[in-house]
Amino acid sequence: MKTILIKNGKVVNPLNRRNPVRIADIFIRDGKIAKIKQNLARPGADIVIDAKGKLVTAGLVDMHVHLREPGREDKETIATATRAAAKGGITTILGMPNTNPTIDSQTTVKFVLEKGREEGIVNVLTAGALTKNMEGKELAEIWEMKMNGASMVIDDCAEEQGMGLRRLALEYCKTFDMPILTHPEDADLKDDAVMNEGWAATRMGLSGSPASTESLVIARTLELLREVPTPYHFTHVTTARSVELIREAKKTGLPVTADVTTHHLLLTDEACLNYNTAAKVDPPLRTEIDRLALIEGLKDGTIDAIITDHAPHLLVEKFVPFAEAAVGIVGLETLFALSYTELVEKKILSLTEFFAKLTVNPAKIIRSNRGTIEEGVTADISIFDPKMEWKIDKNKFETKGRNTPFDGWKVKGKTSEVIVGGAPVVRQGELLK
Amino acid sequence: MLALDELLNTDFDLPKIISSSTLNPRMKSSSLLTQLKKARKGKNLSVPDLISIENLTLADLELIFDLTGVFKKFIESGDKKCDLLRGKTIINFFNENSTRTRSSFELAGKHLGADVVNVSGSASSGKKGETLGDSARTLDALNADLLIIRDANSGASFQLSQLTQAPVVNAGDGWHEHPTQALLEAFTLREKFGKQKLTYLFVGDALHSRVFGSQVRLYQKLGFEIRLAAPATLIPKGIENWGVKVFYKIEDALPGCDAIHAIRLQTERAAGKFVATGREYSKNYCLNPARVALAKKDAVILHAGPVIREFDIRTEVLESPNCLVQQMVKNGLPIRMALEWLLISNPKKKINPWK
Repeated sequence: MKTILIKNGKVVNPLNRRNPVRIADIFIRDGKIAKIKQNLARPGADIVIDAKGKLVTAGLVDMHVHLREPGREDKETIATATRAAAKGGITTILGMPNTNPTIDSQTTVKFVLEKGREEGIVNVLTAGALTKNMEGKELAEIWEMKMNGASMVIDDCAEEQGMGLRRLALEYCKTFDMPILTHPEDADLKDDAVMNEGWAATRMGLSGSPASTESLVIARTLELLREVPTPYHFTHVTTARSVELIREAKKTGLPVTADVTTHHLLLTDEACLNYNTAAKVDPPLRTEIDRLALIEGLKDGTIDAIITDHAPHLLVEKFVPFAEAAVGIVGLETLFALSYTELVEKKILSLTEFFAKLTVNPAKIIRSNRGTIEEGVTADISIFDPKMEWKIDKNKFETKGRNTPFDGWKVKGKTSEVIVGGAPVVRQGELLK
Repeated sequence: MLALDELLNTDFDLPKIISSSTLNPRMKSSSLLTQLKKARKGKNLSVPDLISIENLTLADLELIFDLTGVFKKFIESGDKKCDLLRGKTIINFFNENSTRTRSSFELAGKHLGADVVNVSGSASSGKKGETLGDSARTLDALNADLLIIRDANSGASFQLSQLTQAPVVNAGDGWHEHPTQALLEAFTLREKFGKQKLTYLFVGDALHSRVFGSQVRLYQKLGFEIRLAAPATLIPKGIENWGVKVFYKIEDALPGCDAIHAIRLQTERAAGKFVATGREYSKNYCLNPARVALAKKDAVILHAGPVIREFDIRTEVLESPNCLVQQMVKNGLPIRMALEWLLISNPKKKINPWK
């Protein structure tokens, strides 16, 4: 394996309390970070990367990706998703189990992990379904999935699921120390809604779901967690009330965590105006008050991680009337640039806080040993050029999906180099193969 | 042949047009053309499509109302047919059942001398797996000069209008808008009240009514005081942004009203579950003589049809002299003639989205 020397980069390590941001050189040998030090002399390195003026960080960890494989390889494959991830500086992705077949057994878990190893150019992890076939009726074989490498289990709320089973699920997962991730949305309250309830929906004559569709699920889950505390993660929270509830729960010591998507951080339901199906997403884009509360939640630590909820779709599925259009936004190639532009350039988060939410925090929630940049760890490293301005062009995406409301946006910060397990996969912004 | 552009042209040659015209002598063609020319003053709509009232300026509204008046007189003179749009094709693309609106658009087109084709589907194209782009290309391939589109999906007309070269009229899209229906009502009110700024009360299901969607925008533009009496389940969120004052109790809303519009409970759009029973709804919101008596003495009664008698409105009220429902139906034709003519003759052409 080739040795790599990264010179003069601004290395950001949120775990280093004393000195989280410093100019240093990094030497990579045998797939691991051998040394991080200023003015490191390693004349014999096979590859030397000049990172002057650039940000050097652990490769990003995206804990919410729809890989679509198995079943919908027309939308995305594990291979194309990992290429998109690499292009975006993401070196570890967690696949969601709502594929066909559902990832709800050791066989399907193994399929995704093996495919990821064989065809992926970044690390592919998978979550399993909490219930068989995600039907909300019977628990899936959670222990066996965990033994075969599933990182956590997902309660998708797509199906109406009784509280009795939910409480049993908490106890069952507690038994095997399996973290649960939930998409908090009440199917009954949501009904036939296609966006957020409010002025934008009213103007367009579209049905909307109220904010309580989400906060209600969080509130009742927290009640269950008080009796059965077990690691629990609320994904893509969107409402001000949700942030409040999670903040309170954390204060009382419940083992809860939360994440937010880039699109909910940057957009409101106004983005759907003119029937913009690219902004149709589940959970829906909410109001400005909600958006600001999400940013506040990020700042005060209520929200631990930023995710993409990368959800590729076919063109035809978005090129129909709004109510009939598929929900979802692709995000792997825009995660860094959008969130960096919004959060760091606008001085909402420090570099350290920002990278914590994209690396160490999500890695900790999904129990991955990646996402850190320290001597001795596996060398997953991304280097970003924070000054590079560029225009998002969906037609240049590596993902098969073109469904983004950010097409044409001018952003700052671009992937320059990506190293996965000590091997370069992106050089000077381009995929190596 | 009568070219539209000639009519807009300053050196437009009247005798030539008359010679090519097949107008019935009862209303002199010269008279219609002169009056149209006078009313239009060479003006055009500020928009290439009619999708939402939101896009119309006050000048657009005046232009539409003025021309509607001329067309109405023309129809009333006993003649109905002219050839302003001879050689033009209008396609009624209706993806949802409709007889009255479609017939009105069709007749308007035929009165103007256009060829009118009806294309109907039971479901929207999306459900059949066709993209909006493919639908648009198919329609444009028929070389239409105007597309009249109705769809069960909010926004379908707008989305298609972005993809076709032909101008589009929204003839009703989901719960969003139905602009011609609002315009014909506003014209009817203007006939009665002139340019007065009225106190106007909606009663009933505003949530599922596309006619309401257009009316509320229109009356806000015209400076009306707008009220709505309905159960909370049928009130769209954020409606105060349109300047609407909301009442749960119809009796509180009626005093001072010049016009009362009963909105039909859209039972076919699953509005049924928003009220306990029709009986209970009707007891609380049906326009009966006692309620109407609370409004101004000459308050007019309006309804976009089809009326559910004794449910939305009591027959005594519906058949009272202050009920303008019949006038509204009549005005549907001239307003659509005016719009079809304005849109087809608009010299500002849309850009071909596929080139």
